[in-house]
Amino acid sequence: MSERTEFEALYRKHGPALFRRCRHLLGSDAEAQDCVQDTFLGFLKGNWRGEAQPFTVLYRIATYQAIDRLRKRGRWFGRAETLEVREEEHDTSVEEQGAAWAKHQGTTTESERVEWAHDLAILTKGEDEFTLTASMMHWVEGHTLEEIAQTLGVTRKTVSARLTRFMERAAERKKQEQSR
Amino acid sequence: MTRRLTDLHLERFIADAMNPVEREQVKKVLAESPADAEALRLLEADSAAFLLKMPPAAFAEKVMPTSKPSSLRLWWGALVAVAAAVLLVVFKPWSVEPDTIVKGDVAWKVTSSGKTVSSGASVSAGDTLEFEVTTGAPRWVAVVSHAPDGWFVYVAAMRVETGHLMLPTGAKLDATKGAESLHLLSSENQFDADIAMAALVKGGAPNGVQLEKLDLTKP
Repeated sequence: MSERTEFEALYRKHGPALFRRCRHLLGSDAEAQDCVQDTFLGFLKGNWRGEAQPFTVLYRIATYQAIDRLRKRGRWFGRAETLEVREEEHDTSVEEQGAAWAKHQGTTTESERVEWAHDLAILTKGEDEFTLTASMMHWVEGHTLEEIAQTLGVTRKTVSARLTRFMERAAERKKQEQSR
Repeated sequence: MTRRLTDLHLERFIADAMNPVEREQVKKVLAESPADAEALRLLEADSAAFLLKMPPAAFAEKVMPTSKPSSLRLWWGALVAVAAAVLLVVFKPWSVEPDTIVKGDVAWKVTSSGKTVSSGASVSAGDTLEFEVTTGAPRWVAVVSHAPDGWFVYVAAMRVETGHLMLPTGAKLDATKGAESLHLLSSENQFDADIAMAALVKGGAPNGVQLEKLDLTKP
């Protein structure tokens, strides 16, 4: 199979999901299309040998690309003033993860999620792709630690540690901003 | 109707990006929960619509434009193409073997390890399906599959000349169990397999495209 045919197959398999991912975060079809294009360009430039799965890598790049665009809008809504990692959820099975997600969807409106995404885009400036993606998945979309771990190909403990360390850095950053 | 799976579960299920335990859990919920099964169907329809709007070939051209090949590469390309044609294409006079499916001017034969696979046949994970076409006139052909875990293009649309041809792309079956339908598509005119697949998702082949179905089961 030629490189181009392989690329087309990769796009056919993952392009639609990445488009939905970008559209969900950006709220615009046109921006989402550009985001998908930049995602695949980023994928082609990178060296992903040894990475878990193409979906995992592409999902992370798409999130990074979308958040980069949100960050440029530079809007702070104050939703992410206090961050807390939801450690106690029972989420080993997909149904438990589904229930926790449904609960989050039921208690957060679409506009609140958009505001959360804008705030986190500002707070995650300078953070790596993994932390940024996990933050969005946990605080904006309401995914549990276990589902994030499964999606990103790491352990739940890793997700928890990375989010906790990010929270500490974000709090420090906010303190510095306020003291200016 | 309450959802029991997240959208991300469904995306990863479609992308085949789940471990076997998760995959089995998701399959079980999909069988029990009409709300989640409907959400999966909507995602698949959305994917098909997206691929219609932004087809793979057009997107690939944007992201990795074809560069003009050097004359040396052109010579090598021509040489490789001739060699491939000699290896892959065995032209025979227009004749139809007993195990072929004839539709219009095109006869299909699906094989696995050299044995003919007929409609209703049982297949196993790891089997490789191969597709043979016999035609009395040049045609465009493609193969699309509808499996329990979604729709897939097995063979993108390609032109076949008069005679008998083993298509260069086969399909290795994964471990997903259940009923699978192969849609063997042919047309006098060029068509896009993704566009044809989108039409099949909605219920029928596009105008001018002949369809032959072959039902398989993977127990």
